[in-house]
Amino acid sequence: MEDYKYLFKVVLVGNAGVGKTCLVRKFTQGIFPPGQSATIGVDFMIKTVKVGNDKIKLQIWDTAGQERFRSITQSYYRSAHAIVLVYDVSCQPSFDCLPEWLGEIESYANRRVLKILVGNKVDKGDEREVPERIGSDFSDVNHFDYFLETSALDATNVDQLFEQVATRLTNDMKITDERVHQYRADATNTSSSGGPIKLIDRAQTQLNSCCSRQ
Amino acid sequence: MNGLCCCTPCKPRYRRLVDSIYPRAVTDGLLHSNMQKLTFYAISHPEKLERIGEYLVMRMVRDLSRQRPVQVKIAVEAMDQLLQACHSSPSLPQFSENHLRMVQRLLESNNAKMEQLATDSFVTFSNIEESSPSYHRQYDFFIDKFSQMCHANPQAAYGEDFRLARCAGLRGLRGVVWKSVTDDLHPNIWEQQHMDKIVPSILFNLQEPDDNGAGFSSSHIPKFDNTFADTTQSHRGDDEATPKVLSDRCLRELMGKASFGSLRAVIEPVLKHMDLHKRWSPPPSFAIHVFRAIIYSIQSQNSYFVIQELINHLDSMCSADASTRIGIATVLSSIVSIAGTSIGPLLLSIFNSLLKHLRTSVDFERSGKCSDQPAEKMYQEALINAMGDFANALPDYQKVEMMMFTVGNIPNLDERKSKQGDEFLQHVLVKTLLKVATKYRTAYLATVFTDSFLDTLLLLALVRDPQVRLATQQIFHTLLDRHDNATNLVHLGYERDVSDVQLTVEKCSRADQMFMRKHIGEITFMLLRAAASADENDLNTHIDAILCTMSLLCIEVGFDEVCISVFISEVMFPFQSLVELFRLSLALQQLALDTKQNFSDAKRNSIHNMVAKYMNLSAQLIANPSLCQQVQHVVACRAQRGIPGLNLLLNIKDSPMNDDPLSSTAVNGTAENGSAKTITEDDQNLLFNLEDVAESLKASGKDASRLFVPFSMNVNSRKLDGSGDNWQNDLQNFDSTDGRESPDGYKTVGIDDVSVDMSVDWTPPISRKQSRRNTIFSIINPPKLNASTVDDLKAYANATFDPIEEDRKEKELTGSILSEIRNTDFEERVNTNEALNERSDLSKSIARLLVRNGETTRVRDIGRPTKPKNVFEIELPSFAY
Repeated sequence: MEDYKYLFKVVLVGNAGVGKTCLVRKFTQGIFPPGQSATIGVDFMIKTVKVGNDKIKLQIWDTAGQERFRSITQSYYRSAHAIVLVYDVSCQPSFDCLPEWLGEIESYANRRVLKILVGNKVDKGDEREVPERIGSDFSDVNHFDYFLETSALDATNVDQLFEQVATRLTNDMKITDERVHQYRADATNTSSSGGPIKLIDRAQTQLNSCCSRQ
Repeated sequence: MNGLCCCTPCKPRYRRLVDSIYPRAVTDGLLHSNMQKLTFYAISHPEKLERIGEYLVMRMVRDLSRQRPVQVKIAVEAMDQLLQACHSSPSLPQFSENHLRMVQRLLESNNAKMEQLATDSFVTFSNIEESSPSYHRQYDFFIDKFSQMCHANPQAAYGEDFRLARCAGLRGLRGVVWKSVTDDLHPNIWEQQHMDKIVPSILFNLQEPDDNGAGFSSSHIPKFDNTFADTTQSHRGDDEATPKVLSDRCLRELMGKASFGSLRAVIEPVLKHMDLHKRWSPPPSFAIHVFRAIIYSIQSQNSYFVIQELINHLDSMCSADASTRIGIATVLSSIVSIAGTSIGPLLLSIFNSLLKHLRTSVDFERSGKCSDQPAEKMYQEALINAMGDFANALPDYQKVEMMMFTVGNIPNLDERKSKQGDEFLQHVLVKTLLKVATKYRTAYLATVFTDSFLDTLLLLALVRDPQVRLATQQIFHTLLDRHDNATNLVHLGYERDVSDVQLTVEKCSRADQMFMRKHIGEITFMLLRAAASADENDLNTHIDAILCTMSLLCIEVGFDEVCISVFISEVMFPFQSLVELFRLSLALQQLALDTKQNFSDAKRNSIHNMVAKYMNLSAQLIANPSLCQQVQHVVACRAQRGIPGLNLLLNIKDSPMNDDPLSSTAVNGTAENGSAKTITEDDQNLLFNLEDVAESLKASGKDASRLFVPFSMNVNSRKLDGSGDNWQNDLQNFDSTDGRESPDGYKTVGIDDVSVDMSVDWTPPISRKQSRRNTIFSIINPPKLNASTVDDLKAYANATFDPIEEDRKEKELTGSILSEIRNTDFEERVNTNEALNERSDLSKSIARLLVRNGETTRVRDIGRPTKPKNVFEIELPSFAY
């Protein structure tokens, strides 16, 4: 009945004005909204992608970066499968705030959540303030699962970002599924192979004992 | 299933029925006749309901992806109708799963219209009460999505319809709450994770018009209503047309449904929201609105919890900006009155923490780290107001409790030890006390003025800080004033006819009379001292306050005091309030005349004026014509004499001189021809004459003998009452030390002395001196009660008590003791005393003998190895014993 195999929740976080909404729009609708105003509360988009032969549905929750919406945005962390932390490569303060965001993720999100670090606005070549190496170092040190630099304006790496999210989550999910299957299979195998034989053995021994007694 | 391509006749019946509800032309709506057939089929074949739902959803999803909104609408309508028709069907749970899937698909479409549709459908669903529970159903996505819709803004996908989307989101959230609350197996709606989304979403919409400014309400709504009317369903009223109104309703509903256990989960997001959106900063109208709504909606027995949470929040914000704290305190003060009596169980703890905050704030302000002192002051004000409102909401006996508590928190009144900060805290706490006291309506004086409370108040009336003294007088005003006379008396002038003042007078109860008789001495003594130490800088206010207290005392307890003839009460409380007040007035006059006092002329004059005003008031109140005449005479004489500060016949309020006594004297000095600036003792006709007053009082049946007892005697008589050795200083003593210690211009005259004497507890354990005296007197002078029969006793008991006589006896007694000491030989006295002691206190004398014996034997026994004799000697008295 359902037309997708997995559904994943992806939450985008990061300082105000780093381009979260633009990333999502570019990915889901293929447009770059010029003059995008600040997100209020949280925004929602859905997009189905294909990983291999599986249809994967991504629920993308695009949160507001503003401090005043922190309480509602935090509430979305908990059920997220993946959290995409975005900073602006042309804005050092947005990078400096990353530890703060990490702290929030740690305190509110699921421990096994997929964490991805994204440096946005690479199109602003001259104005770049955070070199790529610094970003990737930070992602390594803080155990991010993936790091890449994107540009919502010229669509650099945007699709790749969400594909990566979908692929990684799918793979994780498949592993878990397999494990569950394995476990179930083991459970059924042991019960199906063990049960009857034991009964027969038991009957046999009983019979034998009876016979031997006679 | 999708791939199944079969011609119509081969399809199962339910599919054919479903297909038939879709119209051939896109413009037509749902085919109702066919819909009825489908409904009938679904009801008669409940086992098919699930499949019908599945098939409908499948078609709907297909239509949705093909962008065919009409067909989608038809599918949703059909689903809704089926849902309502089959609400008691056994396969409803399965069907509703399909229904929810449909709603979810619609919500995921990111199309405002479809979201509307979905919300309406979901609300329909939430109104259905399911008979069987659904264990595994999750509303997480709906909560997420509806919360997101609540934050819809014109820039995102919603455009101009964003208010519709917000309304839809709110209704959806409300639907989730309805659904979860009615279903016992869904308590998880109250979990923090959900409330963290629901509550901020509601609050965001509630505050939204503030963001948009005034334009919102006027210009946008009509248009909005039109668009709304297209999609509206009958159950939505116009009153829910705006997100603000709707969110207000949602909030109240949510709070109303919250149980005690889930309150925390609801209140915490509210507090967090206020923090993050800076909604505390004054004026915190939004926060007040929200918390009012909360308090009104939740079950009343839980309202204390909200207050507790707010106070806890204040605790956690104690280092935050003053404006935040002011906001929280303001909110507190505006909701405590609503919470009312349900606060009961936590009364003291709440009050205590408020006091604690007050103290912290005072410390903080004093510490010098405070950058914004005015704001800190405002915070204190807000806290005090909160406590006042808090008191207002409580029943009277708890108000008394709170006043006691506040008094208990006032730091050491012992001025020698007090620090600067303490004094300030005193000031603040007295303000608090005043605030609480104003909310209290005194019924019986004794219930509010318990001993310790009255004592502290009396001490507070004499502390160094003039503001505190003034506030204490005001506390007296508000607590004494039971008939709302205080407003008329605060600036009492000289009234030729007291009925112009429009006083309400009522006969005072017996209990109050008894109370006053017991305490009037302390109170008048306090008033005398308060007058003596009245602040010269703000003379009129202080003197007026004292006058007001006196007048209130006169009105409340004095004016129609009947002579209590019961013997006991006379003995215990020898003071008649009214007479005591006259005595106080005369003492005040004396005080003003006393040249040893370091008073300015202005102060003397204003005390004289106060006495005149009081005399006038009370004389008219007790309707004593001769006294009235005296007063008028004195006032007229003063006016004639032309000492401007004393001319009460001038309109007092208009006279600039009286408004500013200091300058008035200065003006006098130059303007007048060098004559006296105040009254001296020689101007007999300018003064109230003791004998005349006494005579007048006697004429009206009052017992004026106490008037002749000079005020310093009050202190001594207090000593006799057992009030303590600590009252050694009489007024003379206090005056002379004052003259010595206070240099010129030192305004708060004699305060140090007063405080030293007052600092010690007023009710010491039984003093040795007194007990000694009692034993002696009981032997030497047995009570002269020589009644042999009951009738004699009765007669003795009914005999009017004559204080003069009593005084005379007392003096006689003192005289005899003194003469005994002076005249008789020391040895002789020792002997008689010894004899008396031995007679009265046998065990003591035996003990003394034993000690003496022990000493002598020890002296004798030095050097003796064994002392068998001793044993007998020691034991001998014990036989006698």
